[in-house]
Amino acid sequence: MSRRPLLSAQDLEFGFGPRRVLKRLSLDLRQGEALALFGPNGSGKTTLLRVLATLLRPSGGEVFLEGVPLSRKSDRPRVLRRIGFLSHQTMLYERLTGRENLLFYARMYGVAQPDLRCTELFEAVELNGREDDPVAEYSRGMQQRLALARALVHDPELLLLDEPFSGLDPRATRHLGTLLADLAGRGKTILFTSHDLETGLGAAHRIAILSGGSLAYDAPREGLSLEVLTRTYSALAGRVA
Amino acid sequence: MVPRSAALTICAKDLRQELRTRESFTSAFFFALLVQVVFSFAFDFQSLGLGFEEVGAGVVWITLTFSSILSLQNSFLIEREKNCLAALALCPCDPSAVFLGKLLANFLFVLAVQAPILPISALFFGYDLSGVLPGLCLVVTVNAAGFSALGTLFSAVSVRTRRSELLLPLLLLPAATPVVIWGVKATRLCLAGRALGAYGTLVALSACFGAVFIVAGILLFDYVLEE
Repeated sequence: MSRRPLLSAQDLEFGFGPRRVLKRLSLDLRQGEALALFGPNGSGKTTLLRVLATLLRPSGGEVFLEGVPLSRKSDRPRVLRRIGFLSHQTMLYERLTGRENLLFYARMYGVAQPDLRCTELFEAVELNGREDDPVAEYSRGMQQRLALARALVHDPELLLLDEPFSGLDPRATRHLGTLLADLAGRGKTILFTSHDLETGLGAAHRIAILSGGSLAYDAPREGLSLEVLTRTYSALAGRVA
Repeated sequence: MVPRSAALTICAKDLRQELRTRESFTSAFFFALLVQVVFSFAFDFQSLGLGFEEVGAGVVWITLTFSSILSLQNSFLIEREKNCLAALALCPCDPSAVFLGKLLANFLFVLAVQAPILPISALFFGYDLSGVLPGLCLVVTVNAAGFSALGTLFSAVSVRTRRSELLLPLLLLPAATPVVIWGVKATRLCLAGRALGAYGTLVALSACFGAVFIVAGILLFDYVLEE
């Protein structure tokens, strides 16, 4: 894991009307680091990820990707090539097949060998054999895995994953945990949100808890037990996940 | 990614989806067909001494305008379904490429709906189109381009609203009035067998109208894609 931060958010502010969702939130993510972000519903996890992905413009503060501010329009295409974003919604076209979806996004990102990349990804998310089925015929878990493949299609350095384990069965959850560890091992930087403390703890190098729009807890996973995390979470978030 | 390549990728994706389901085409085509049937049975134009030359332009453009709205509406609704619009906004291409890709797909949809409607309309009214077909194709194509440019922009603007299906016609119809009026006038002159010189100015005006909204879409689409 590198020492230099790949992503740096400084004093982020964001609100929906009068309601402030992010309050002077600062966060650094080093290259190759996997950060699990926990927090109760409405704590601002999704909003933070959307701001970091450039989908929402912060009302205050700035996000830097290796020193380049995300707000700089001239650098936007270069920045976007380095970010992979998985949202609550799959961002997939249900009338198209899994392969057609991945090929479409691969072409939009200018991937050099889109067919080869799609084959690799179908294997990585264990969907081979279902490539040519319409996405509408996929189960929720399969759609979630294909959505992850979509986020990975351009081999981004930074992965922003909003509840990637949602909708997955235990086997697929374990597989995704292994996949994330493998990606982090290959130098990818990962920030993911979760409500499942145990799964999140198993897949991350660092744990953070978001409460009331700011980071209430931020510590390395090393030496942190599930019991301690559950207690800390309950104290900070007011309820057990 | 170069805008042209991204635009063609988006257009191909939209056409593939439409070919698979034929949702937009089927609803727009059957609506257009229904309007033709209603007009031909409801009004006895021949007893009033009116031929297709007099009423055809109005009938054709009422059909084309409303059936086009049906296909334009679906253009961005398919992007809203699973928040694919956000995924498009995150693609490293110029936002104008998204607009141009959508515009091209919409233009082809509108033409695909219009192509069978013209002969069907003439058939209902017993009119031979063969003599006026090149001029009529020119008028319809140019006006369809202008209508599609405006419709694509407004479809994108309205898609994030709760009542986008209602908002699109409310925005589009008043703004498209000039291009529809020019289309009706040019079509009437064309059906009357007049030479291109007689309606060339109207076609040029429609082309300028389309060009203005294509440029507006290219310049503004960055803001339209923003959440």
